[in-house]
Amino acid sequence: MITKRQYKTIQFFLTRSLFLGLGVSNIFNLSKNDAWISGILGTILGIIIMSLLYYLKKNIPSHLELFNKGIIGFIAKTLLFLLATYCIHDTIIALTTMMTSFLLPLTPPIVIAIVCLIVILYGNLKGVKVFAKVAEILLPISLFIFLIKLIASLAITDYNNFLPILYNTKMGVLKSSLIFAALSVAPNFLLFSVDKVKLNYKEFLSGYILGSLTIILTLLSVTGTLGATLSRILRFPEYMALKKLRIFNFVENIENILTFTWLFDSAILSFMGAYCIKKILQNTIKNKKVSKVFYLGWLTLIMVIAVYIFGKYYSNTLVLYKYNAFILGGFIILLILSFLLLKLRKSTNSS
Amino acid sequence: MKKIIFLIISLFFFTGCYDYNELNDLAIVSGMAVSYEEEKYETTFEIIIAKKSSSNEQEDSKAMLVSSSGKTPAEAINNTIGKVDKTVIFSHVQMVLLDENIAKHGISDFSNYLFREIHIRNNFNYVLAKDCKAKEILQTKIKNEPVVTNALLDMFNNQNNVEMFDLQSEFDYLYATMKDGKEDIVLPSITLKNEKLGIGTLGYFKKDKLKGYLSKNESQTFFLLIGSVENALYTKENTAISIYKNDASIKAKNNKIYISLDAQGLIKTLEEKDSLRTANTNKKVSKEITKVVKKDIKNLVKKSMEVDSDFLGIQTAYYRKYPDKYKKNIYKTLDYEYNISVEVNRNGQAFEVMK
Repeated sequence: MITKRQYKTIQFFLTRSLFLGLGVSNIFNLSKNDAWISGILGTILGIIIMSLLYYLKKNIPSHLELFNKGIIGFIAKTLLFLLATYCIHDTIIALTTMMTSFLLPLTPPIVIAIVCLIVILYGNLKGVKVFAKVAEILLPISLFIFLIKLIASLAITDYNNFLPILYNTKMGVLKSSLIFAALSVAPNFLLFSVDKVKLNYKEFLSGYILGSLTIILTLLSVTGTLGATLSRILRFPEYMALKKLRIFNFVENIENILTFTWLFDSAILSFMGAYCIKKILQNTIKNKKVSKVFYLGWLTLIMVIAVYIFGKYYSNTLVLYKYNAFILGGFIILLILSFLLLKLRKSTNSS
Repeated sequence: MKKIIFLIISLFFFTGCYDYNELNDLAIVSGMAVSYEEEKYETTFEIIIAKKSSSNEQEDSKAMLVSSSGKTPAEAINNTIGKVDKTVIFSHVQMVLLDENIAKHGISDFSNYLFREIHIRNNFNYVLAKDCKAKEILQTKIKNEPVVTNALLDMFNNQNNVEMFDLQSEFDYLYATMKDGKEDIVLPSITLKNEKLGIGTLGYFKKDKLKGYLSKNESQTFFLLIGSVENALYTKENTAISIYKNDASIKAKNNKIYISLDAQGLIKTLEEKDSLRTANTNKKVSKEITKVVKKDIKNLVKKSMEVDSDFLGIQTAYYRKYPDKYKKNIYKTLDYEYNISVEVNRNGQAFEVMK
């Protein structure tokens, strides 16, 4: 079992993890210079959903046991399995696209994806306790890098970039706040595969709120640094804004170091997603060997699909880019409904 | 056994040797010159030779020029890359010199190419080649500096009047300004006379086309309003004041444009009759220079209207305050209020002048 602090730390990383590549640019496209407002609205909406999650998790020691009960349990299990699959898939696409675009332009995406897969497998070989510990170690590093980014960006922020506020973007802000909520909340469902950690309401929300806050501040600093037009037209505004940062006017070109925070988020999401898949497979397939083979095969399939179907053809990437939030939103609604039904059934049985 | 297999696999994937390139195999482009003639783009790369030079080699062999042309920017650059026998690296491009003919033809096509190209860092600067060919500038021989782009950068960075290259003058910000379409861009220029390079005045654009150049005084006033100055000299008769600090803003309020400048000046020379034993001289000089600067600023605003180029960004300022009232060329119909103050607060070493 992982500790309370580790649980909150994983929550922090999961909340941020889907914004790289598919999230931030989409939010900027819809809400332009008001992206930060959609961040605030999205967080409020996210807190409401997370409160529902808290209620659903309350007094249930292990959801994996509940999953074995009836058709609803099976549906919930399948949905969680698919969500984990989708999250890993998203991460591999975001990472390979970014790596091949900026960091390793000569490296084929499949090589990058294989490296990701090796890391995911290795992380999960050690178990949830180890990668929870890794997350715990990465948290202060991540926050430190984030603070450097924030302070350095303050020096070059043009506050005029935030004006005019909410002109012609009201609908966009509403849409992108829904996207924000979907992207920030959905990965947190993967924590249902972790055995119960007793957290009170405040503790349960702390990781999510801190994660969302860093994303809102990122949206603010990107807008302030690049302005609405550049933020909207760039494929990775969150990375391009880092290119502008200079510390004390002489430390420059540090974007590759500052990008580590995004890599940490992606790594923790991949670990968590793979762990979720592994646990569900172990829960469903009793034969350990078959379960292991299926687990390895499934992760390889995700990687192949991510690289050769969605990553290779732009039209497919675009579909993902457009419908990402809808898919995640769908997962959130269906999972909440199925968990609610499971909880209701459990309380009826116990009474 | 598992660990050994894992280590062997890691050797192939984690050591970073997968797609490495030796420095000797790279052609690092430090600058580029672009022109447009007879419906063809011509690009010239200034390439830094990373190879160790032997003692008897001449120093100027550390950089070489490669040129080619094509019907589109992509074709021109591809053809130029084709002439280099090494892997061309664009991530160190610091400056792109634009020929007047491409600047007048329009720089959007070329800018679109550069902006999309992932191998080029977008923090380089565009510079106009004024009254000369951009390629000729790169061909100039400069003592002590074999790489012309570096020499040009030093010239711009070390000249002590104004800060020519700030963050907002980097390529991607210019691209965003052009794409946004509310305000027009200005670019610094470089001149070549008798094989000597010099900094020219600012060239102003309408959309993506060069319309003309500001005068020296207008360029200085532009920096006073938009950028940052370090030694902007203003004279009235025998009095010369250098403005060393400026804080300016262009804002819309009550459907008017308010142009404010709060500057600080340093006395360079004084009239014979003036003495700094009393504060009156300072006040008088400040008042006189304020008048001069105010007049220059008014003239610059007037010029931007006359030449139909909003290079001062007045429309953007108006849009930020009144987005619903904004329309094209609105800056020509607005009222302007000027709140200019130049405070001469540094007098130098002497109280009096020689009579």
